[in-house]
Amino acid sequence: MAEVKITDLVELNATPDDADLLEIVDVGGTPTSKKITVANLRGGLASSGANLAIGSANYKLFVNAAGNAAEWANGIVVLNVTRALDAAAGDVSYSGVGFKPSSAIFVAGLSNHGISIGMDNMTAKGVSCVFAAAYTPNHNNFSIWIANAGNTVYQYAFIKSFDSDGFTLTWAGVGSEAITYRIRCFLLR
Amino acid sequence: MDRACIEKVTGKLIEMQSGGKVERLSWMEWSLSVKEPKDRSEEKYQEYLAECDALEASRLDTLKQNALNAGYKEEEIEVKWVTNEEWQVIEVTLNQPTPEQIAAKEKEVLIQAKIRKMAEAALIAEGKLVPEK
Repeated sequence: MAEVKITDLVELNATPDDADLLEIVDVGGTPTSKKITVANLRGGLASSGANLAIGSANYKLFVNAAGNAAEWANGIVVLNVTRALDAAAGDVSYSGVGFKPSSAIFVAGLSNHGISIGMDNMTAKGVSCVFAAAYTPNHNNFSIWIANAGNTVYQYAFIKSFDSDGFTLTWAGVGSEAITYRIRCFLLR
Repeated sequence: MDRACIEKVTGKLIEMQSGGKVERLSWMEWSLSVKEPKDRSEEKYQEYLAECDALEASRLDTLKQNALNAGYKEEEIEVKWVTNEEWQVIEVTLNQPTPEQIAAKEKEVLIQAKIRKMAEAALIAEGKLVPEK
């Protein structure tokens, strides 16, 4: 197509209708054309999330679980759970989060026994603890560690998977005692 | 509302997980959240409510499956929603000393008292301690 000023294109004399917002026609040789239509524009906006109504204050924009649209969400949840030191080893699922997390911070504590803080994003993890008998272990391979006061009976866990509505921990440990810890889980989408 | 799994016979808490209830949107709130006008129907709204019910049931079932995986039998456990007040009643039962632990503690107190009494008597006999009047 020969170079032509866009203002000289007769195809643009008429205002584009609702279906065809912009049409560029190559009139040289065999005429061909490319259009930008209303459907193109709506589709593009929908996929980018730009047509979303504004979300609640301080919400953030996420891609939805299906991966086909955008959505506003908080993306942060605190889940409180319990874990007993006489519970069987194995996988334990935690739900009620409302989204698939990508990272977790765990804080466990029990009066006269100890406190433990760990974090895990399935790429890196670690936990630091202080127990009543002045034992202060650090473990790089676990997300959380709970124990009796002397750390002679203990359980530890790491994140096996992040799930659509929560996560799964794999628990293991040494010994058994009727002690139940509260664990606070800070979960990030 | 939180979720709790209890061993029926002993009343022992097996596990608790917070939350899990789904806040259901009213018809008006729900219809405003639906992009396509054609999807704003009573039938679709009922589908949305059914999804909320299913999600809550699934979240409660999480605790049941955890207990089964830990070796409990279904008839041995009770999984239920608990209010804050109900949870507080359960929580105070946690980490209470067993009868054996209480007996051991009492025994230890008696032993310490006996040792102190013997030590004081020995010191008095050696003239290093004045007996209390």
